[in-house]
Amino acid sequence: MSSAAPSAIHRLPSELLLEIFLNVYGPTIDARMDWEAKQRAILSLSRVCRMWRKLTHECSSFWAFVKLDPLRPDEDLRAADWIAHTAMRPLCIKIEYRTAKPARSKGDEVHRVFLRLVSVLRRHMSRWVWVSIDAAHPSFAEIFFRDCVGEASMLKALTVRHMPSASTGDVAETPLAIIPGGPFYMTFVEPNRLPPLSPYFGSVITHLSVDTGLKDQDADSFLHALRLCPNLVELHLACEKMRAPQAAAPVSLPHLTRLFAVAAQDILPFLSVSSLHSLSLPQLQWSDSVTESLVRIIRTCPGLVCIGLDHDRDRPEWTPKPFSLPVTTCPYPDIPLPVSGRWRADDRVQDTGPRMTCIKLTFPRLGEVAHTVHPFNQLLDILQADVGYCESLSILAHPELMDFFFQPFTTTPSLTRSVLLPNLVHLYLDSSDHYILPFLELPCLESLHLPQLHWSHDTGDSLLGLFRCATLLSCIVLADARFPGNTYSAHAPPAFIEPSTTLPSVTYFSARGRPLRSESEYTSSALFLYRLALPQVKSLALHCFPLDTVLRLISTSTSQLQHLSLSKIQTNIHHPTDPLLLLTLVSFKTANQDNVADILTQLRLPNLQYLDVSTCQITAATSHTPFHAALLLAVPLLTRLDLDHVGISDGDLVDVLGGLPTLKYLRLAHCYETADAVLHALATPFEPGCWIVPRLEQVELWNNWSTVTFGAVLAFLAVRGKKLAAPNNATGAGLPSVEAYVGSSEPLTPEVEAALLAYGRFMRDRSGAAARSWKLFATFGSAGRDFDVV
Amino acid sequence: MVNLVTSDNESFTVEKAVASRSVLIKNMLEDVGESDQPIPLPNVTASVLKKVLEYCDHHKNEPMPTSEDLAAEDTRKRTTDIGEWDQKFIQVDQEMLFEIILAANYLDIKPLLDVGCKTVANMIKGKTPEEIRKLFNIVNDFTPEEEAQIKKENEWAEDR
Repeated sequence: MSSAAPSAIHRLPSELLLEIFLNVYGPTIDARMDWEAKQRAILSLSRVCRMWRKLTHECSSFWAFVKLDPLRPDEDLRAADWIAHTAMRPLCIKIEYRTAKPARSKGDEVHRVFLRLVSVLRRHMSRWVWVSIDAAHPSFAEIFFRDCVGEASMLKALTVRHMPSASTGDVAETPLAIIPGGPFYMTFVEPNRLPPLSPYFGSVITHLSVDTGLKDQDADSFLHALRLCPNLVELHLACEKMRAPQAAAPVSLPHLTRLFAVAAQDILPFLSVSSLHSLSLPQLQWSDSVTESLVRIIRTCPGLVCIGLDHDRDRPEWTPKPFSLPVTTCPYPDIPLPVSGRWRADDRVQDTGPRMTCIKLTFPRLGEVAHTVHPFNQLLDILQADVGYCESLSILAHPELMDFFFQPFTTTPSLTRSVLLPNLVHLYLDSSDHYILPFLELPCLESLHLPQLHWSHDTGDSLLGLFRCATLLSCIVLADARFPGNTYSAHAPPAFIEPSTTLPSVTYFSARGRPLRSESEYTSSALFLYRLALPQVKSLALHCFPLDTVLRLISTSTSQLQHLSLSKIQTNIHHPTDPLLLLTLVSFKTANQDNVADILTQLRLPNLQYLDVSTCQITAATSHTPFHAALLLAVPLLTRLDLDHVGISDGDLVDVLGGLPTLKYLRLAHCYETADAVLHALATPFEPGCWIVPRLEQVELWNNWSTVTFGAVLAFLAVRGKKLAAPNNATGAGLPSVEAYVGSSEPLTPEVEAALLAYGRFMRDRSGAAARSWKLFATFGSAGRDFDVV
Repeated sequence: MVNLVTSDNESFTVEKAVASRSVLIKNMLEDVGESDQPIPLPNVTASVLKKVLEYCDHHKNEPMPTSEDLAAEDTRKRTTDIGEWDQKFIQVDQEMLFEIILAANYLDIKPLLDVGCKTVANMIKGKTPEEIRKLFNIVNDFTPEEEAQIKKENEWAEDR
């Protein structure tokens, strides 16, 4: 564009320019999450020209988020200047250090700046909406609570990071006047202790979060603070360890609906709550009083819809009082428990209590446990009445506990009769034994997940019985146990294949066999697959099976199959067949499959669009057929190819790409053998005007930096890339121009950076900076990826 | 069918469903009722209207944005995501891009206006003031005093 030409963008009226600026600025909701990028964006816009500056300065939306740093000498002046742009808009204010903590020698200076800063800010207290103070300096919180006296009528959230320790003197009661009514969030991060809250201020707080990394917090201090906040709706306490309270009295929180408290054993007995919907108590140290507290809370909170309990594995074990509930013999008596459940409060029937619709029970496996079943029994006793109404059931447990769980559904001492769960839709059973399977009657079951199958002689029959009765079953996930013991296996597929059981409702099927001991092994799960037919399956994922088992199962599902995922498939074939034609298959993923070419030769995938190959080594030695030849035969219309952690030589990859005339997207990630030669091949016409992969539109290069250089990227973009100034006029007219996305740690010179900028946006990844290893990312064209700006 | 006449006097006959993506035209059609009268569009040239109609034709079967949709698109939730087809559609030179934005604004086609504005926003994002000036051929017209003030502001954002 000529410098004499007037800027076309100036033809836009102010309101449209402002609309564009607002799009650059991004969402203002949660703007404090990416505060810095927003500040940069708006300052950048304001420095382009006078008109843009006037527009940005007049739009107060851009200035409502104020971030201040007391380490800057004139920060109070900057604060005043910034706030002057905000008109009368509500303000979100964050005061924090750029570095972790100021040097001790700078203490007085920082103190003075903070005093002046507070003096500026308190003039606008009526507009505060969200205030966050990093009071790493001991005096900050003290100054803040001392000087900011008055009405903060719009304030909805106040966060204080670090409170002064007791030795530096008491923090005055907070003098902030908040208008009660709406939710008010108070957050203390890493306090040495909680400040005394005035009864008025405390009564305004509806959401309180105390998050401290320090150990040995004083439980009395927490309980005292809670006592001053009787209107709490949500409470979040995260403290690794608390000192037991000295003289605690009960704390009544009648409005509390959500309680999350880490290691809450010391405060739990003192909490009186009746409105809880959600209770989550991680790292709980079990004791009789904890169990009693828990039972009391569950019994007094009729609206409880979610319970999550987890024991503290690092704590010494607890020997409980003698077991008091009637129950069952359990040969494995030591079970600490995470139990969680969700009740549907709106279905609560007054006389029978809440109806649980989702239960999740998780138990450590035998060998990891050293606890008692006592709390489990007590809690389960309370929960049991509603299990029959359950819609989603997930259990990870020892068989005996599984027995214990299901026993109330039978009238006999052991499971000999069927267990009817008429409402169950989702079932997840993780156990070392599945003797329960034949007894389950699940007429509404839609998804079944059995992640640790130990095959015995009748497991297959049990599964088939379950499948046949569950006529709505659409999703099945099976996986062999990792340590299956001496399960049955064969060295050939079944000579006589019995009529298979057709599962007409199943659309998703996933099975993982155990690692094969030899290339000719057929495990119990592999033999089981011969008994299934899945005519409606749309997604099929198979792991660790012989290829002819896989092909047999796929052959029952050729009409609907759209997505296929295979990994660790052995290419032993006892009965060769013609290649399978899968007309509906659009995506094929394969992992840990060096012989991917051999698998492809068994398939004809004329409509496959997406091929994803990961974690394998593709060489002439790993397959009988060259990869490019197999692709040519099996996937003539591929549009997307992803190679991730694939060892493939430049020559082989160029051969592959040469056979993919319809390819539009190419992704190479962690392909350390791939070097500049591939980019050179893509950039060099094999005859005038003719390139390999002529329809290529997008290239992503990830972490191949040991071999792919920016020089090669630039050479490639020069020929195939999308020029910013003329997006549709890339060299090689007639070919689609290519967008590239490149990740590299290669040092970037200003010259290279300037050259890259000619092709589009160029940004640095800020997360890389945090990890002390800057990575450079460039995206060319309008790939639309969002990164923090430089 | 609806007959539209551009500022350079070119006539376009399009389906009512296509033309009605423009709230301006939709209201005009509702006002005049069934009529063969051509609708003049004095602020849009033929080349731009052709492009705008391409957009309207592609999106003709989509529901019109409701007032709730428009409210959701306010400043609090805006993103710069653009659909795949729209991205390809809007790959035009700058001159045409701004003409499309002006036409979408005049014809009151909010989704097209959004695509245009988001595209320009994406072009701006991550760039320095100098790069933005270069991109849009904007003259730096700050006075020395303003430059000094900006320099001071630079410190504000330093290392942020």
